[in-house]
Parts: sequence; C-alpha cells; structure tokens
Amino acid sequence: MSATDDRLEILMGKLLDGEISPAEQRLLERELEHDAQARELLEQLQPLHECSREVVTQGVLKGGANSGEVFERAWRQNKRSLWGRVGQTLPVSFGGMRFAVGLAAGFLVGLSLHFVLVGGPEPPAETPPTPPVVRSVSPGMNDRGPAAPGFETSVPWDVTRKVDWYGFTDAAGNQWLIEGIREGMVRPAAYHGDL
Amino acid sequence: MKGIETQNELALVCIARKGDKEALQTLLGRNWTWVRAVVYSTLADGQDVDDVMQEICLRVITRIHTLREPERFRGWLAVLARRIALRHRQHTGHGPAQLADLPALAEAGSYAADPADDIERKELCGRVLEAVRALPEKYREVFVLAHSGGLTYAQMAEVLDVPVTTMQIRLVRARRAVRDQILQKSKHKVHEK
Repeated sequence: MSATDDRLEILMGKLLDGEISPAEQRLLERELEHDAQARELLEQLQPLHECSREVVTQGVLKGGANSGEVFERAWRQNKRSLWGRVGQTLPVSFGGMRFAVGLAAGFLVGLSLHFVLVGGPEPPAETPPTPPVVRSVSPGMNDRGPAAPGFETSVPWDVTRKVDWYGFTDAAGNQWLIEGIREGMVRPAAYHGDL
Repeated sequence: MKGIETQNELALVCIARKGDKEALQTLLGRNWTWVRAVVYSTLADGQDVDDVMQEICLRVITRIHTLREPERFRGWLAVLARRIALRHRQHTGHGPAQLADLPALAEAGSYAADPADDIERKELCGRVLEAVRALPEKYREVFVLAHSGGLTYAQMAEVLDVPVTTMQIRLVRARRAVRDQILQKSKHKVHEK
C-alpha cells in the first residue's frame, strides 16, 4: 500500500468522520472523479462506517449506569472512606506502599542496631585547654626555655584569651614581654617597666 | 453554580481542582463517552465497566488537585482511565478485551425497515464486531474512540497521547484491517455457496 493510498484513505476517513476541510474535500472529489477504485473503496467504507458507529455506540453507551449515578456513588464513597482519602495521599500503587513500609522497617532496624549493639554515640573527647606559657627569650632569640609561670590575661569585656608570652631582655638590660599569637604571629606587648 | 455548562473545560477544571462537586460532575459527564470507550477497549468484561468508571470517578475526585496544568486534563484523565482499567484487567485475570463479550454489542443494528435489509445489516454488524475484536489493542482503541463519537481528531490524539498524523494512520490501518477481514469472509461465503 503506497503513501498515496494512505493519504486518500485518510481523506476518506476525514469525510466519514466529518473532519474534512473544504480544500481537502475538493482534493478528494478530484481524486474520486479520476479513480474508479477510489470510488469503489469509498462505497465500501460508508456502510462499514455506519455499522461500526452503531456497534460501538450501542456497546459503549447502552447498558451501563449514567454518569451522574456513578459519580454520586464515587462521591459518597470518598466522603465515607477517610482511610481511602489517607491512602490516596500515600504512594498510589500497592507496590509503592510495600516499598514505603519496607523502607520504614529497614530504618527502624538500623536505628535499633545502632543504639543497642554499638551503644550509642560517645560524647566527643574534650581537649584540655593548653595553659598559657611564658618563656624567656635571649637577645639572640635562640634560647627558648621556659622563663616564667603561665598566666591568663583578661580583657574588660570578660573574655579570656589564651596566649603564649615570652620574656625578653635586650642589650641595654630592659625586659620585654612578647605576646605569641596562636596563628603564628608574634607582636610585642606593652612594657610597663615593673617586671 | 449557575451557567456552569456554558463555561469551557479549562475553567471547569480550575473550579474542580478546588473540590467543587458540581464542576467535577459536569467535567466527568462531558468526558464520559470517550472514557467509557477507553475502558471498553481495554477491559475484557463488560459487566465491570461501571465498577471501573466508579473507580475512575473516585480517583478524579481525590487526585484532581495534583493536576498542575488544567489544559492537559483530557490527557491526564485518559492515562488515569487506561491505568485503572489495565489494573482491573490484571486483577481479574482476563485477557485483552473481547468486544463480542459485551451483550449490548451483539444486539446492534435492529432498526432497518425491510426485514431482508435488517438481516443483512445485522450480519454486517456481527462481522464488523468480529473484525474489531481481532484488531491489535492500539488499533482497536483508536477504532472504538473514533466510532464512539464526540471527540475530534485533535482530541483523540490528545487522549491517545500521539500526534494527530499518527492517530490518523492508526485509524486508516484499523479500518483497512476491518474491511479486509469482512471482504475475506464475504469471499469465503461466496465460494461456499
């Protein structure tokens, strides 16, 4: 069967179904004038179409409840069944429901194993605060031995900063206190002259 | 709600999504015939069609709020109807639809004036029925939809979720298969005589 035959039969189908446009109808009429086989085909299709319509219409429409009746039943069923409505919001298919239940069960088993067998999460070990260190540094900065007891500095807004301090005596005999910043920076502290 | 029948389907879908009973009922009523056609062409047992239609109504009532694009209502409804009918068919353990199982179909064609015409017509309808029954499912569906009336080609394509040209080709092939089978039977009859 060629593409031309398909096109012709589509036009005939459109004619029978009332879907044909004026331009298509003119085209079909022209074809039918020249093609005896096409005329014969259309003559065969017309009674078949009527019979098919009759058969299907009677089968589809007759013998069943009307739409209003069926809808009312469904509406009442929906109102009655709270569980039904809850079920609609859950996974639609039975397979989906089974999957959800399995997932929840697996989660519970895993959770109980975690707490029962392993023994629950341990609190994180607290690292003891490193005490501040005061070291004495020689003028050449080579001597790094401890020089003074550790102490904390306090700031006016009640925050304790933990820092390392270094004692330093310069060539003139002046004593300096050096603050060692944890980030690796070193900057001189203020000298009050009473050390 | 006054004048709801005159509103277009899109507006009806929007109202129905808010749970309006009358809008839902009107919407389903307008699409009833072709939904039944889809169910008929999928199911094997004509007795169950009303049950499946009720299930479809229930699903529409409870799920229409999930429809994001109201303009795609018909396609959404078709998918819903086909899925519910298929599931019903699987649960009841029937094979694909046998249209002759539907009692109403066998009684078709009973109004010809001349008794001879009447017999001839009944015979032709019987043969059409047999040929439609033998069609593959995708051709049977388009054939039943096209002959149940009420849908344009564009709407049928939307329901079948295929382009209009594909739907037309399927319809041509379905008609050709029905015609060929009937002509073959007629030839056999002539030879038998």
